[in-house]
Amino acid sequence: MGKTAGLNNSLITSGQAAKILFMFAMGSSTLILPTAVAAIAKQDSWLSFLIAGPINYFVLMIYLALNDRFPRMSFTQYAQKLIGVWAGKALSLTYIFFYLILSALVLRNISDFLGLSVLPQTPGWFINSTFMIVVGYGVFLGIETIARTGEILFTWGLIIIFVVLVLLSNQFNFHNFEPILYQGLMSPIKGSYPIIGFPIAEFVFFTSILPLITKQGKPKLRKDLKLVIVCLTFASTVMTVFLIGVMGVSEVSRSPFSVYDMAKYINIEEIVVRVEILVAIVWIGTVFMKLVLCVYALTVTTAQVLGLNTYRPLVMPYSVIIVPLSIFIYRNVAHTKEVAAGVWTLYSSVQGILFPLILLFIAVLTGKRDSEYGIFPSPENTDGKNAKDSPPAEQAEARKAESEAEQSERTEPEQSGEGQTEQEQSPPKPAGGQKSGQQSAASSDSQQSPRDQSDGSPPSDMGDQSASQTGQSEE
Amino acid sequence: MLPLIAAMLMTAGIGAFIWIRNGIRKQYKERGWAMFILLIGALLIAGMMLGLPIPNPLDMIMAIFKPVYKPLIAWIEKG
Repeated sequence: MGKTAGLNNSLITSGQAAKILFMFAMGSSTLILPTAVAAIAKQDSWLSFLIAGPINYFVLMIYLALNDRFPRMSFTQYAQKLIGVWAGKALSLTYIFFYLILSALVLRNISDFLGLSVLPQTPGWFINSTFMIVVGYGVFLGIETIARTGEILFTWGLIIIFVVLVLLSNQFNFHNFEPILYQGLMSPIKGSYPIIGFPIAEFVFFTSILPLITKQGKPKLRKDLKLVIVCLTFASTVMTVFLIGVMGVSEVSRSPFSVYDMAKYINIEEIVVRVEILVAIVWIGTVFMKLVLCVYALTVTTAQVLGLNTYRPLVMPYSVIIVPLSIFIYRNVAHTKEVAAGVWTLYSSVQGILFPLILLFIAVLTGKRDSEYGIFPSPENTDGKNAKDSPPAEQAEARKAESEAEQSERTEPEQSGEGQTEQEQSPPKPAGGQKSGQQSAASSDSQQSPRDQSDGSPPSDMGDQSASQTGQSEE
Repeated sequence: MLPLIAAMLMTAGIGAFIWIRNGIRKQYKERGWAMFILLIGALLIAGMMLGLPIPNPLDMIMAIFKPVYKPLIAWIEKG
């Protein structure tokens, strides 16, 4: 931990970014959202998800347009460029509040779910605290670790959802969809209101991730995001179709966790039963990703507003705030319904759509563009010693390209043995170190180090080490 | 009273950890802000344990958006 504690500028690929966006969206839309939509649009609620697809695309295009103008800056930083330092910081403070509330709400959702369905005897504060410890550790490890976790959970999540839907196909009843469009097209349009609130407007967290995407991944980003929107719309629509087809509208609109309840219907000849825990596993994974990303955006935004060199010291203090906040943020079921189906959409639309749109208009009108590096200043650059050096992200990409080139040269003659996959991820090592048992013992360190070297960390790492040395000598 | 003491001990432990770790790296500014945020968290926990009336942030949001979202929800729920 100490070795990597100042590193912030890890880079992720466009595919990883797209996958974490998908996981973030599934965290809300799989378990809670169909209930809110079905309460409004009834049996036509699957159409609401189709209608929300283009809105989703429009919102992401706003973020991408801003990112095209400020490719190496997060929302907080280009807000300061566009509307002035103090106004930009004031605007960012509203985002800190937004992310804090969102994190507390997501944590409350998971504790409600676990408390009601899986762990009824366990107190909520204990579930929240233990979940938050894991989340805090994930945020502490950085965006690269989060993205890799997302890749793993993405695959497993899709497989489990597919299996669950296949197993439910024998329970499907097409009569549950009748009458189709009984109240006209206005009903599904109105049903898309909660979808705009969560997750679409909450995608604003993505503005903290966009500057961390590699330069090689930027051209593919637009295509990947389009693919994610299509997948997301398709998955949500299919899920809602199954919900209505299996459970019926009245039951979907009553159930607090409708997808989990739907999985209870699985019954293949009394042999395959009680597989709803699979849905719980997927949902815990997606909500974990959502919460990690919210806390990451929260800490990064705070650190950038305060002009800190790293966001990491803020992770644990924010965790201490989020846990009690999640306990008292909802008073009762009526309050939950009023917030989730009512005011939240409006509030998150202001934060996630209106403010970025205004900033985009200002950027277009003033013609401002800036490719300056602005994620976090490295300690060396803040000292002014290496101010002329290229920014850490560029160093990271250069090192990544170098290591990839070296790896491709190495892998061709050395393609025998299972250890090759680890070799591909690790930097070129001294010949003596490859065969010894020390390699396995130090595998965690060696897996950490290549990324650290390749993500622009060496300057800050070195800065940390030199700082620690000077700090110790001063002490 | 026991959960309160446990929570305060936990926050004190986290505070000590941040204080020492960041002191080694000379991240004085980071340490200061981290301790400030931690203090807010500790006060929040203490307030909750002691049953003090802590304002709910969602109520503030609802009060701000009330003129807009009430008619909007009424229109949506009308069908």
